[in-house]
Amino acid sequence: MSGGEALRAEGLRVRLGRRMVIDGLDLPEMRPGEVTALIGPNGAGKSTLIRALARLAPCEGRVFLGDLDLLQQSAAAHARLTGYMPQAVQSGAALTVLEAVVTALRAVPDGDRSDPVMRAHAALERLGIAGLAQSRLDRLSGGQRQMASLAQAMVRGPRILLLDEPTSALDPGRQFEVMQAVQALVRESGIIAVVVLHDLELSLRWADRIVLMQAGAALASGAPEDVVTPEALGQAYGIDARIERCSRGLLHVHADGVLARHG
Amino acid sequence: MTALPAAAPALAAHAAQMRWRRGCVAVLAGLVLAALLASLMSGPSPLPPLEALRALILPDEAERVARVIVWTVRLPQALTALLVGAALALAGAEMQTILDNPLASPFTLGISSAASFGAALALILGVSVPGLPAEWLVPANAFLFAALAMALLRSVAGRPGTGPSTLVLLGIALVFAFNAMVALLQYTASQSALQQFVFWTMGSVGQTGWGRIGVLALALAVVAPLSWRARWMLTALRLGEDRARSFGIDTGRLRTMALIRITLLSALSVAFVGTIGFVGLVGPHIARLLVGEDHVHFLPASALTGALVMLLAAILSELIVQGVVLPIGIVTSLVGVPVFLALVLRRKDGL
Repeated sequence: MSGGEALRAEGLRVRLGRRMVIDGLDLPEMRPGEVTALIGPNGAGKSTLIRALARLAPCEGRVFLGDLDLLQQSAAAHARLTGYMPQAVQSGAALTVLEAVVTALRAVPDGDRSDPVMRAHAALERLGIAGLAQSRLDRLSGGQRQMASLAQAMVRGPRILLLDEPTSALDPGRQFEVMQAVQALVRESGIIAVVVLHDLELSLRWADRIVLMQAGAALASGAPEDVVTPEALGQAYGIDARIERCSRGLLHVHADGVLARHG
Repeated sequence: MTALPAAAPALAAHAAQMRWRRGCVAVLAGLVLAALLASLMSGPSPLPPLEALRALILPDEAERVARVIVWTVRLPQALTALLVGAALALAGAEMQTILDNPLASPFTLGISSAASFGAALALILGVSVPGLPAEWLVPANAFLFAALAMALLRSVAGRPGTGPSTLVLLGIALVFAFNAMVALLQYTASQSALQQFVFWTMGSVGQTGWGRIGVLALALAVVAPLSWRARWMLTALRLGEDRARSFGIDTGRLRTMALIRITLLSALSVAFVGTIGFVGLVGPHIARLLVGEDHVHFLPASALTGALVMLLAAILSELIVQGVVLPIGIVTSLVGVPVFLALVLRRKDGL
């Protein structure tokens, strides 16, 4: 399923209250089967951008999937094309994981006549969490909760996955599991994934492309080794960083200190 | 389902869970019918079950006294209790969902306080809608003010970026505002008007009649199918605001429509039987414990539990003090508070 229509954005502007959080941001082509990580310091507008793409924040500009302007689609059509995973929120709902995923299918009908329970169960199996089907949402561990959340985002077979910090508050093992599941899903189904990541190491490990954001604009974007440079990190995060390539070809970032801020 | 059950234990467990829930709803419905019959039997002059049934089903063959007791006193009161219980609990269930707050009920948002103010205007100052027959003056006023409070909440809920917590806070402000105005009216009221008003606030199904029952039944018949149609969207809202919106649900519109349904049901209930507490809170809580929050079962179970609690309260109100019918509002609170406390204290996670 590689090839296919790419996602790109032009001139995005998001205003929250009186503040222009994102001002004239362009995103380069993101292709099916690829994971694009949004990184940047706190307040750079990463979550706002992903919420704008999910149409949860009012947004001007153009977001194209092939020739289709996503921002011009109806809410239902947009929801069929995209799957959104919010930043970890503890849901106190008295629902099982299977029920939550069934609800994701039934909330707005997508015309698929097959049994929603079977579809939901197949999605859980696909992610390897069929064993959690009958567990209550409010009794899951952090990693389980994120996987259940991912299941709700992907069950409708979206072409674009928008994930807002899917690994926050997880230990390294669970971070690895969640990102591995995301990558496998994206590769096998030719999904375009845009993922907000706070952790530089994680984005270097899992992303095919990185967009480094600062103050509501894209400072740099492209392949990880082109974007994550000591200069860019210094500019975005104000850190004195070294970047090393380790034995398996992975990049590592070492922050040796904080740069003096100039105005 | 023809799928291989052995290969998917989760599916088998899910199917068993669905059967349990349907069973719960069916048992609740049976209990409501049983309580309805019991309420026809009990009262100042008790009727044996067969006698009560005969008077209900074959009124021409029953004794005149039994027929009169059943058809003019007990059945209207029992049906009122049933309908009000169902309406308040259904309204409470939807309200708890759209406000994401298990403590929400028509009382939290100031609807009952507004209704009380309307009733006080009619009972104390004699101000009401012109041209209405006398027995409708108090309910009409109570309904108008409850609807007004809801319209105010709705106008705020419709503004972009307004979440559940804003609504709850505004509701609390309404409670205080209307309670203060009620107190002001009470302060200036005559002895007899004050007595009437206090009795009204205690809640009673004694003032009912077939006209009121018809209005309540009609309201439920219109609202319940609309709630049922929104069942999946309401369940999705339990997964979180952003999540629901990402499914393509217009959550603002969903809240607004739910608020309109809640207004109609709770305003009518409060208008006809006074401020009856806890049914709107306890009904959904018990339903949630029994069938979870999948609204396919949660909504009917809530309505049935509410109806059952009200019917039992109506029966109890005649039994507690021999020869005296206590106001049903007092009984529901006396019964509801311990149940409610037991539920709250059982919770492990805060609110």
